[in-house]
Amino acid sequence: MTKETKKPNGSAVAAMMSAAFSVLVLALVHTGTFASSSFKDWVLSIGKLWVPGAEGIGPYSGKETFMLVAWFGSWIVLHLSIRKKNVNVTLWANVFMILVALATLLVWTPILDLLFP
Amino acid sequence: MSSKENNKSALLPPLESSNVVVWVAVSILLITVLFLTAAPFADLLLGPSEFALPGAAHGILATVGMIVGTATVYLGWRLFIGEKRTFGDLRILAAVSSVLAAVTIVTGNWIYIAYRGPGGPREYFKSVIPEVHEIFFEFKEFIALFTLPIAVATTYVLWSYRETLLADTRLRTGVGIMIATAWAALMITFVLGASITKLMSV
Repeated sequence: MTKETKKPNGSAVAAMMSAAFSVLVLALVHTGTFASSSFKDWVLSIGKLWVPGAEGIGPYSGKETFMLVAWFGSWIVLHLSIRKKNVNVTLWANVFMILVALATLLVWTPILDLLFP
Repeated sequence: MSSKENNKSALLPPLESSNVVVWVAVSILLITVLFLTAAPFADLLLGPSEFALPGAAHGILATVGMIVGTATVYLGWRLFIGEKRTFGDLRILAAVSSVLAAVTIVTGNWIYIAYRGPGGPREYFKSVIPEVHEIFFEFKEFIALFTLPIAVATTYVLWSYRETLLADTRLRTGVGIMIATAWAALMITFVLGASITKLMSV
């Protein structure tokens, strides 16, 4: 009788969580630019470092940059950390939904108006 | 024939795997033919705005992305409920969705310059109906970005785990959640984008 080998689910959860983390970072950076004009200028300066036409699209370029850095950075770290492990997918799928829901709320302007009247 | 058999025959059989990809390809072909024959093509691509070409490309890519994304959700649902035993087509459509999300975001960035430029839609909306920009457009521009990492993560899991997903109900559920989330973000973006373009295009 051969022992059945099953690929650990860690790398799948790493991919899922890095996606959720990236959209949350995007939303948090957007929230920061909503609250502080100096932070907004700094975010724009980050976008100008590499995004073509960054001057034209404003701080959105920097927000995209932060999202991409958070996405790839967290994916690499999580993948290396948990790729050989089996983790609780149900728990992390719930965390995924909560993070994405939170990010969605933070990019909805009426919510930011309530937070920063 | 018994009533049980009647009920059984009344149900439509699920589409075969390869048929879904063919259905998507034919749909895209028909829409492209319709667009090329019925749209004011010259005006659209060679109109007065220097952003007409990227604007048209963005709209076409978004429409194709919506079709592919919807087919992906259908197949994802069948995987989620455990009805689907092979899903090479789902893997292909998920990968295509990821590429479309990336390219649509890039063309969206391009026309965003025109949107924010002097005399552009942002200036118009802010002076006439500020809610359109401040609530709906702002929401659309961020929710659009959600589609890319989630679609890529879904594609990675589908290609990496392949048929082993069938034996892992929890991971299959996770994939289903990601597909549904990416599709919801895509639909919100598409509907808001199309509506805003109807009010004023770049």
